[in-house]
Amino acid sequence: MDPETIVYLIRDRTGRIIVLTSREEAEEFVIPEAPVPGIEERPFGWVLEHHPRALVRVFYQYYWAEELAWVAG
Amino acid sequence: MKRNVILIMNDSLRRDHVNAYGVPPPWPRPGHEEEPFIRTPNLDRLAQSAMLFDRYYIASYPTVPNRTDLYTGRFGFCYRGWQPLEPDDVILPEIIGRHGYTSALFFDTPPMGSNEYNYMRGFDAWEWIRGQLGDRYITDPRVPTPVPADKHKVRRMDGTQQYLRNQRDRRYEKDYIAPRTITRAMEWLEDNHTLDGFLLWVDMWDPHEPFDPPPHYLALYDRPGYDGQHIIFPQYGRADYMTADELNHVRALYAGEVTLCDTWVGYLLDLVERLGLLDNTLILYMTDHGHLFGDHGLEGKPGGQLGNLYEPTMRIPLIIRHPDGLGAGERISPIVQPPDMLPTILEFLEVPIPPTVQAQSIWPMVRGEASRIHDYAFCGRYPLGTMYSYTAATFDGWAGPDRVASALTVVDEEWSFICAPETWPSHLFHLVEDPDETEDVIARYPEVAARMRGALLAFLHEMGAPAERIAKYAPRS
Repeated sequence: MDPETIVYLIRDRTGRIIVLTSREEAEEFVIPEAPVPGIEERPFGWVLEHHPRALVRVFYQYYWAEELAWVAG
Repeated sequence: MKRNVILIMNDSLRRDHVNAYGVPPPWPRPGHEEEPFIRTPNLDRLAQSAMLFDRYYIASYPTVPNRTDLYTGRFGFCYRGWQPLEPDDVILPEIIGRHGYTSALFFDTPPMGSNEYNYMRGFDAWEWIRGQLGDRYITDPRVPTPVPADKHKVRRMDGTQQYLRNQRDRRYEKDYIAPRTITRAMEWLEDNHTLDGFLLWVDMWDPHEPFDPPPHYLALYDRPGYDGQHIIFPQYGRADYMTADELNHVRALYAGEVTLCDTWVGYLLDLVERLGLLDNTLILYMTDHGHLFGDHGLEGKPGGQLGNLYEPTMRIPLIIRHPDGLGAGERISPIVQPPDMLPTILEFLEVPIPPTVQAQSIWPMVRGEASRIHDYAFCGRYPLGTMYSYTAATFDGWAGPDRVASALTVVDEEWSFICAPETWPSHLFHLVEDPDETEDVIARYPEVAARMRGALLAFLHEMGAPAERIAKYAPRS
């Protein structure tokens, strides 16, 4: 995934970051009861640098951010 | 007098969830530490009078490609993907039909029948027991479809809700889908057991997701007092979106489904015995692939760069009962693969094996005339680009329309080599010392990896893989 790609971050109930690739998806999944509610917009490169093990949902499955980085090669 | 064949399929059933295999539990069961890890008394009973295959490895993965292999006796993943039968495929029910056998298929596995996939072709009778995941069946908007889990944890929320809608009329255990499928197969058997030579194929999608067993089966395995989220169709890929307690619950749901299937397979086996068919009928019990529940940090059947095929997915149960007692009670250790089932069935029925078949009958090995039929197992999936229908493709774990080639796995009796395409990393595991595949030893044993890669390339070529596909797995300079 290109580091410049804008991704959308939400938090689960434990505060863990979940990364989605569209705002529409983030709005669908956002959890009002999460410790940090709402949606945060970031470049994928920021996620990679600060949260390499953040869960990124791409095509029906979760990757760690770092796994999508090496695929991009 | 002709003989009969009964083939029983449970999709997604792990080898370590058949008690007869006696393998160490892959994880603990909180609250049930002193109890059996899994209860499969009926499969265990079958195994006592049958052959238990220790190295039955998938070939084409997952569901539909596996059925293609079984129908054709070919290693489809070399050159084709998740797709309908081709008009010129030479398939089991048509082959035996030409020799006077009657065939019947009872299935609830939706991709066999939906989107014109036509896996009913050639059967004299077939029935699709409706209502599994993805089955466009009940539209009634009044049916409540609550999924008590956060949306980001559920794979295909719309399909899961469709599944729940499909269960509108369910009340008792007998109303669950696998019991309904078995019941219809038993009714057919009662009516047709006097036929002179038949094939009965019973194809259940359970214990595939949604993991939705009757509550009394879940109670056998779930942590008492669990009150967390009820994730019946967990997202694929990295599993750490679930808490440890949630993952444990998912594992319990799955185990409950396994025991439900075992119960009803037991009813079918009892009927086979009551009807006096055991002396004249070959019984094959199998699955098509496993499923990951946190193994290697993964859930489900992930694809793409997370799609490496490990032992829990590849090495699956196979139990074959020969009516003459051949191999009864024995464990068969040499490698066997799904395409071998077609020539095995045909030889048993004394029907000539057509030249289209690429696989081998197991009988020479069972009779002791050959020590093995394969030196290696070759396991894999064909990239998504060959799909006929994206909707159908998303049934079973494809990662997305990126058309990447997935890694292929080569196994012998000592090693497992995951041969990655292009620039992805390959891996080597020493199964004898490291059966859980925790330590990649490819750097220590490059000659083993090279040998297995060479075997894979030769196999792909022999099986008719296109040159551009073979090239993706060639050694890198």
